[in-house]
Amino acid sequence: MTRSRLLSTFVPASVAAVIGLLLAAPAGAAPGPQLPRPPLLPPADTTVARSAARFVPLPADTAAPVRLRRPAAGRLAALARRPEFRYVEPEIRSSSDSAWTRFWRELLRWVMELFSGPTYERKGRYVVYALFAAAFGYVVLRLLRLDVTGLFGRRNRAVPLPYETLSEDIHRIDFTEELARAEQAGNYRLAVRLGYLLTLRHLTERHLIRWQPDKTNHDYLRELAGSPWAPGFQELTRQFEYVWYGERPLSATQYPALREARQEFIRHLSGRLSAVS
Amino acid sequence: MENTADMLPENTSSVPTASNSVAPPEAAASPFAPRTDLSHLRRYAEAIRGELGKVIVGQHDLAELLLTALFADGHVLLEGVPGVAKTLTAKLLARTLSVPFSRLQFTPDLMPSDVLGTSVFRPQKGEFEFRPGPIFASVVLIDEINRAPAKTQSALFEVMEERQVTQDGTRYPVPAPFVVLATQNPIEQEGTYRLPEAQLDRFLFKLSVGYPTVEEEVAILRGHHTGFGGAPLEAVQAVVSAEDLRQLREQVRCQHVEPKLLEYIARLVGQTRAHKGLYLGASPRASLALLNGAKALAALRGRDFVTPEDIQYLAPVVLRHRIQLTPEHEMEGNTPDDVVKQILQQIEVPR
Repeated sequence: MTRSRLLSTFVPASVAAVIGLLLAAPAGAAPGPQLPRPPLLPPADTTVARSAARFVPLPADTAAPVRLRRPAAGRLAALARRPEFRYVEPEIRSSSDSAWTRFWRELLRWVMELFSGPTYERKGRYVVYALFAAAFGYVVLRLLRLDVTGLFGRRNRAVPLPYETLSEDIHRIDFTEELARAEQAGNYRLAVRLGYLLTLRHLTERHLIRWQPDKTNHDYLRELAGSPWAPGFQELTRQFEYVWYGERPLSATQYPALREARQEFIRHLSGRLSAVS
Repeated sequence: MENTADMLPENTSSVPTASNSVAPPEAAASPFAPRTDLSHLRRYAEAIRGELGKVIVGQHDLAELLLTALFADGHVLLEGVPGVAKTLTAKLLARTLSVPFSRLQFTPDLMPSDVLGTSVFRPQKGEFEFRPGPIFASVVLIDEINRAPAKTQSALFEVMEERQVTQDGTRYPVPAPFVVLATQNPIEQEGTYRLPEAQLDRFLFKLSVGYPTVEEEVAILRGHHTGFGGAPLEAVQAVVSAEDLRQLREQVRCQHVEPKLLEYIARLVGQTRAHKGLYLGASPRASLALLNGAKALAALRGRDFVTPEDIQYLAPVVLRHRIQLTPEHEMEGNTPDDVVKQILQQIEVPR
């Protein structure tokens, strides 16, 4: 049984015809209709080249000379006065404008003039150059982190950042006099404080610690760590902190022991150092 | 969210109570003995440190600052890269207290009512009934707090400051003690929301959790390798009750502060408002935080009075999240800690 017979058995005739064509095409039994060929181009046109070779220039037309026509001066002035030809809006001045408004208007006009027309060539461009130079200088100063505000007499509020002095400078206090005064007044708490500051001064003068107002007592203890003066200073620090920060009341019978401990430490400090030197 | 209040064992019998904590008479006679007996507080602190140390290797400063915040009645924001045991530390600290604990994982779709609670209608009664949210616990761990939008974060404003939640015109106080321990990751910016200034100000401390040292990391590995890392949380027991904590906080509140040190705190905080490199200075709440923190730290160090050392030690953790650098200062590579250090160097220590 052929393929066309099989199709005619199971499908309608029209559908079978289409399927039959599709099945037959790959087999190459019947060649399909040929595609139209593109038209052939005519041979190259050589007539233009030939006519160019024969070109002859014509003589100038002198029969109709160009005449320049100018409008009448009156007519030109009348046209110029018409609003359609006025490219700059007339300035509206109100008599009720305040002096401040007039000032800003004049300033704006001056700036506009500076940056337009011939004024820009004469003056404005130098202003632009100056602005660029100033911006460049500012960037350089920022990159180098320089502060030149001092040149203009203005002090930068954050740069110097001075220490806020809450107490006295230990190098300027007359400890002998102040201690005697505090002890006589029975102000033993103040005497302990002055005695501790005196100890700090001795340590600073002997370069055992580096005095700085922001340092705590424990910073100085860390600087003395490992030295023979560390235990004695630690005990003095403990006494000072309890009496000063802890505000412990100190009686006349308790104070002498603290004074003796301080004097012993300073004697020890002076004696050892003079022996070494 | 989990509620582990029932899981915490009531094992506080081995620790002495914090009551009757006055100095013995013979000690009071000496000018250098504490006026109040701080030995109980220190023993409790040691007990908590010991429990934390069962699991956490190193991080001694972190433990001390967490204890300081706990005794100063403050909230803590823990910041650190992933994997440095921020959440674990907070969970362990919560386990050392026999108080209700809840945990909240902040996510972008979390709503304020998911945190605070909401009113639901009861048809049987014909009225609305407030259902408390997970914030109603004594220790609340908020993990990844910066993953929730500002709307949800601002739900914490009232409860963190006033220890209460207002719903439908009714105030619901949270149980005492009330501590919020929040964690956040500073590196990952995608899908996160910067905490509002008002909320940052409500944290007593912002603690940076750093990487362990090589020795500590070896110890972590050794513990994990030998099987200790199986169930570490169960090894930690509650050692402080809510009543103990209340008494210890009362003791801290009574710490002595010399007037010059109050002035020192005010000058330090005030300087943040005048500093050229700062866009936003610290608030008076920062001064209070510094004062309360210094009192607690002094107590932990065995003193009943505050020294400038305590204030200087706490200044960075109190101020770093409360100040904002100017853009140009930030572009120059400065950090809030640098500015705080600079301010500390500018002000003379009262002596």
